[in-house]
Amino acid sequence: MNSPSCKRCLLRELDGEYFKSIYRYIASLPGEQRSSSDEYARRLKICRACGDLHNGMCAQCGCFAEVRAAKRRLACPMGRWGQEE
Amino acid sequence: MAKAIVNANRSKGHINRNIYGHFAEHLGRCIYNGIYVGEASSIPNLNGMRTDVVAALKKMGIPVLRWPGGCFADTYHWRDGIGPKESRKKIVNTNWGGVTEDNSFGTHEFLELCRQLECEPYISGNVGSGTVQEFSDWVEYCNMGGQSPMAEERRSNGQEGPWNVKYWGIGNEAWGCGGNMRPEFYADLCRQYSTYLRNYDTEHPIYKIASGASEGDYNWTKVIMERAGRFIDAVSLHYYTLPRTGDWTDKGPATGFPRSEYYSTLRKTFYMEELVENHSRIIKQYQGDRKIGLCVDEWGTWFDVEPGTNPGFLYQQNTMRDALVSAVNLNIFNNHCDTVVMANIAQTVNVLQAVILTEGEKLLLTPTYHVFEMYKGHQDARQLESYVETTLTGEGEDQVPNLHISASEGKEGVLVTIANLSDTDSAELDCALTGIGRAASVEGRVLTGPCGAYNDFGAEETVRPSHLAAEITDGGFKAVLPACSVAAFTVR
Ligand code: SF4
Repeated sequence: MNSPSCKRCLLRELDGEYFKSIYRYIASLPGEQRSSSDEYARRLKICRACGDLHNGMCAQCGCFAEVRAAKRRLACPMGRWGQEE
Repeated sequence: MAKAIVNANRSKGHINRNIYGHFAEHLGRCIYNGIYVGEASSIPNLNGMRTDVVAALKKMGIPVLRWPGGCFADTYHWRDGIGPKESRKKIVNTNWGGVTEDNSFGTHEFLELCRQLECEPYISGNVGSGTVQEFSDWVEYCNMGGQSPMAEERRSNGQEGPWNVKYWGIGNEAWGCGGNMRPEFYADLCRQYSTYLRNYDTEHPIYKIASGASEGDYNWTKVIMERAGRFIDAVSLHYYTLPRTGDWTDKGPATGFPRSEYYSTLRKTFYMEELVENHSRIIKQYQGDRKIGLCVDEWGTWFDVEPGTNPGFLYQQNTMRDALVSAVNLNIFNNHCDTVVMANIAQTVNVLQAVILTEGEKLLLTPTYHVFEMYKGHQDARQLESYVETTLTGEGEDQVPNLHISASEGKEGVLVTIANLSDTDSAELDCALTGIGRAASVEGRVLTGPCGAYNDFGAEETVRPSHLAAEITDGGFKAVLPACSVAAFTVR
């Protein structure tokens, strides 16, 4: 990974290729598994302020924050945001 | 009915407990957040080590832990990881994921972890990009009990007595990420490094492990044994099981795999037996009157990472397929315990075929964990010759024996471990025990489920061991092994 080391960045602000492949993956998730756009934005706001975010990735679960935030049934591993009903 | 025989009159010797060893690299979330969270973390810890992970690994019976790599070892400068944490160097881990390594987990922390785990440390030194002096100083820093500059520095960093670290790896994968060397060149380097890795206590001699071959590179083992065999105690071997052939960018998923990949994975894992036998033969041919061991210090499954996770972190789920892979490999190592002195599955937590997965403060035990736990009675036990009648099972070209066995006699009695590889057919087993006398009791445990079953966060107990009925017979015992299962019988 040749992107600069950035503590509070999301993936879309980093390396272009990763951005594309991960966003393709998010786009491929079935609609019923996706979180609503408001919830997605709310989650990412919390992630962005979190000390565990490194280079777009959550150090507590190894997921790219955008992917974790996009999955309705997932919660922050540290309890900073919950599942969407 | 499949007949099995366990013969207590024939043995290849004792099963070195280190065959049940593990490997923890500075990679992904193995060390950081997996094992080590730091003293200030909200996750319960003792001196920075997760107490839940330490307790689980102790219960499983971890005998030895290899660190700091892997490829990371050949870029690791141990001085970066000692002294006050706030002044330790921050570096980018170029091998794995390009994340910042703050060196908060260094030599003192690793040896504290091993103290808590009550296991032996195995340190891989940097030969690829380090110096002889640096490596020799590291051994002195860890093992010198008397007065010396290194011992004084260790004391000033808070450790009074020597740790007496026994196992030292002279580099890692010198043919690849450890320097892209030719075997002849590495053999000479190995002799040079070995000369300066000194014993500081005759009661605690060090044990030197040469960087060994990748898979079937028999020439590597031959050259190392021929040229450096006098200077080492063991030589290593690395072999990973991938479901698909050749293409490292398309290894196949860890879950949701087709049945054909269940069988291709098992077929490919059986290659370990051929590798162990052939490398062992070369070692025996050149070892002379010294006994040189084989350390399979990296093995396990390697699948595509879980979707949406950092590809450099090598995070993969773990199913009943992994349980079968570990059972077959551990049986192979047990049955070749005359040369296999150590094996280290890759890697302990959150990386490749891990025994534990974590997510924040949550933890789950994988099917592979349960196999190690069910097999732990083999550690230091006397291996017994065993044989089981088999048929072939599989799909297309991927045919494997339906059953696979090993046995030993230890403090708890005779332990017989058998894997049923068929994903559809149970197997009736009639096991004869020779040279033991009539059994007073037999206790069976089994790990079973569909080949793709796994434990997940929120469903941590989907795959876990349960009781398996077994009946004592005149000559041994009988039991029915469910399809896709690993069973352990303790006979007293
Ligand atoms: S998922 Fe939770 S722990 Fe991870 S970066 Fe977001 S807020 Fe932090």
